Amino acid sequence: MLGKLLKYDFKDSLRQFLPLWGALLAMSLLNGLSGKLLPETSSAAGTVQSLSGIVVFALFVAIAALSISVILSRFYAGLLGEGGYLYFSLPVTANQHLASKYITAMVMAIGCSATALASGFILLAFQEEGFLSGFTGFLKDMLQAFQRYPKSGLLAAEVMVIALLTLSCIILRFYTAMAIGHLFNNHRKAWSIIAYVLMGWAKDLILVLLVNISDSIAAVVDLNLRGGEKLLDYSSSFAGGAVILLLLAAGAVMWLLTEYILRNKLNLN
Amino acid sequence: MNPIVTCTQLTKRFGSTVALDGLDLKLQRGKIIGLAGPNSAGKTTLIKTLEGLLQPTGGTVLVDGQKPGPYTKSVTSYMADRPSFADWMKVQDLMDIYSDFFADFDPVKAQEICNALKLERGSLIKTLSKGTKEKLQLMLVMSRKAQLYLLDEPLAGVDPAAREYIMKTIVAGYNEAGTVLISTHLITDVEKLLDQVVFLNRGRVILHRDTDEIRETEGRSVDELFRDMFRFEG
Repeated sequence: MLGKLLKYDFKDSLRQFLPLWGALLAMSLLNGLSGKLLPETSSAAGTVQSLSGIVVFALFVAIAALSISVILSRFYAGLLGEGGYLYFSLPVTANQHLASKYITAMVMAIGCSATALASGFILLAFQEEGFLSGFTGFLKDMLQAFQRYPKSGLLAAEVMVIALLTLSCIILRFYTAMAIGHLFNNHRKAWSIIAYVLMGWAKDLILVLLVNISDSIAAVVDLNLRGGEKLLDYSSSFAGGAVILLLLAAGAVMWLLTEYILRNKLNLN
Repeated sequence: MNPIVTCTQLTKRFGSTVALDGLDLKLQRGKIIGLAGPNSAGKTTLIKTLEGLLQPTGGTVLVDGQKPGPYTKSVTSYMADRPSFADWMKVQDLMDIYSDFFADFDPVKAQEICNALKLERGSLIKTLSKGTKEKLQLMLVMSRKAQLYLLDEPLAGVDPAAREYIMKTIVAGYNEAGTVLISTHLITDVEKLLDQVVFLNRGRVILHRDTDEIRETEGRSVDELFRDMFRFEG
C-alpha cells in the first residue's frame, strides 16, 4: 500500500516541481550561453544576461518557497484538510500515510537542493574561466585525501548523514506541529504555529542541557586521555555520533507522536 | 449473522456541543437504510465516525466487528457530504486510485456508470460542476462490492433528472449481501428504496423500524411520519 500511496504523492509533487526545476536549469543555461555566444560589448548580451539573471534569482526564490509550501500543503490539506476525506477512506495505516508524505517531502527537498546546485554549477561553469578545471582538480584532491586519510571519508559520510537527518527533523517538526494543531476544535492553524514555536524552544532547552552535560563528559575525557591526536579522534567521532543519535531520537519522537495523533485523534470536521 | 454496524453508547462532543449523545444502534446486513433527522441531528457525525474520520469521545463503534481502521475501510464504501477531490486530478486518476486501493472495485461497472452519467474519463475535476462531482463520487462508491455503503446526502447537489438514475444505480449496483446507509433530508425521493429507516435527533436514535411496518401500522408514509415527528424542531 505504501508503494501505491507514493505513486500518487510523487505524481502530485512532481507535477508542481518538474516545470520549475526545468525552468531553472534552462534559464541558467541561457544566462551562461548568452555570455559566451553574444559579443561582450553588444547591448543584447547585457540585456539577455540581466533578464535571465533576474529570472534565475526569481526561480531560486520560487523553488525555495514552493518546497516549503508543498511540504506543508501535502500534509495539511492532503491529510488533515479536504484531501483527508479521500486519503483516510483508503485501507491504509496512519504509518503508511505518514511514510508516504515524509518520503515524498524528503525526495522533493533533495531534488530542489540538487537543482539549485546544478544551476549554480552551470552559471559558474560559463562565467568563471577555469572553473571546470578547478572543479576537476578539487574532486581529484578530495579523492586523494580520502585515500590518504581513510577517516576523512567516514567524516564526510557522517556529515551527509547529519544533513539528511536534519532535513528529516525539519520536515517531521512541521508534520508534528500540524498534527498537534489538529487536536483542537478551532483555530487549528494558529495552534499548529504555536506548537511549532514551542517545539523550537523545547529543542533549544534540550540542546543547552546536553551541551552542559557533554562539556562535563569532555572534561573527564580530557583528564583521562591526555593525548592530543587520540583525543581529537575520540571527541570528533563522539560528537558526530552524539549528533546522529540526538537527531534520530528527535525524529523518532516526532514520528511516533504524529502517527499516534493520525491513528487515534483524527477529526475531519 | 453479526450486525455490520454496532454502536454502543456512542458519544461525540465538539467542545461543549454534543453531536452524538450515547447513541445505540445495530444495523443488519443486506438492507437499504435511510438515516434521517433535522439539521444538527448527528447524521454526518455518525457516518464520519463509522468511516473513522471522526473519533468517538465515548462509547464504541464497530464495523463488521472491528473498530474503524484499514480493515473496515476495505469493506466500507464512503461518499462524503461534499466532494473533496484534488482539482488537478482527472476522472481517470480517481478511477485508478479506487482500482489500486480497493480489491472490490469493478472498473467495467465504473465505465458503465460513467457512460450513463456522461462522465468523461479525461475531464479535469476543476472543470466539473458540483452536481457532476457528486455523480462522480457516486460512480466511484457504487462501483465497489462493499459490505457497507455510507452515502452522506448523495442526492443533495444533483439535479432531479439525475436523481432517479442515481437511485436506480444504488439499488442495482450495491452488493446485495451488504448494507446501504443513506443519510438524507429528501425522504420522498428515497423512500421507495428503503427497507428500514433510522431517525436521529440531538445525537440519539429516536426511531429504527422497517419502512413497510411504518406504512402498515401508522397508515402513512415515512416522509409524513418524519414531517409529523419533526414539525416543531428547528
